[in-house]
Amino acid sequence: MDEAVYIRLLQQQDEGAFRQLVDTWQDRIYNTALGIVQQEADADDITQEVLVKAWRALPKFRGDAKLSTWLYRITVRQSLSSLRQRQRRNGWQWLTDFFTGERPEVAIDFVHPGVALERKQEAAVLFKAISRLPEQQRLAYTLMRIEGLPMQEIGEILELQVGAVESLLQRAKQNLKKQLLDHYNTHRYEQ
Amino acid sequence: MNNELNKKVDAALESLDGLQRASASPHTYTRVYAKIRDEQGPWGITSRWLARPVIALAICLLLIGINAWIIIEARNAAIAAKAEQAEEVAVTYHIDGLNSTDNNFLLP
Repeated sequence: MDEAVYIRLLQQQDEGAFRQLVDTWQDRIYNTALGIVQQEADADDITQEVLVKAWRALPKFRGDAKLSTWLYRITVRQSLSSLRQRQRRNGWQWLTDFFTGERPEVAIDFVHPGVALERKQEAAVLFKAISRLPEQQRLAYTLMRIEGLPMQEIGEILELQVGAVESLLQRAKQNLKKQLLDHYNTHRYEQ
Repeated sequence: MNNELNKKVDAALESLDGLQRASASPHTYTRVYAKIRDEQGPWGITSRWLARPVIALAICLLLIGINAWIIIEARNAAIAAKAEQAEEVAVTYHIDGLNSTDNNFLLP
């Protein structure tokens, strides 16, 4: 189907076109969200929310940005909002735990399901380090390494120049190296 | 030792090479479609309309206004009732013509 016709059908909220959009995009949205929030249940909720939001906003989609950029932007925004909600929840959790007498949940190490089996241990350490990166570095690194997007598209999604994305990725790598060195130094005698 | 650490760091950084894209739940479309259908139903439309900031603010202001009106009306009614009661007492005891100087007749 011609791209312009497809977009026009989407703007008219045609169910067939929307079904096609969901089929094409659900894995990309889920994968991106999973990379950012590092929790499968949250990524699942985000995927649904992004698609519902896209459906609502499609009649207003002007085509200023590519459909892919538009959908990735909604995904990133929704994922960040989910992360902030989780942080707020965790912020009050100690108080609830104090009154209910429950012990705080132990954080489970996240490993992306697409990581090769023999690399899962290293990947768990890396994901923990990624989760500690500053927000913009984390987003740029996740979009590049987990979703495999080129710098140009990452720039469009984050509304940054390519140079700025390059610099973010450089700093992300430096921070990750530092964190990983600290981690392996601390756990030197384990295993 | 440093060399070994660097190897571990590199291995961790390379652990995402060849990563396979994660798949969303096969029921995503069904769930999304159900949510959209719910939103298009009368309750969905009403709740979304009510959740609009302008509407929500207008309803809040309207409720505050109604409350204020009820309080003012109740106060006015109480004042009117008291005045009526006082008038009745005044009529009964023929004191409706008294003024402050009449009331102070015992004073030197």
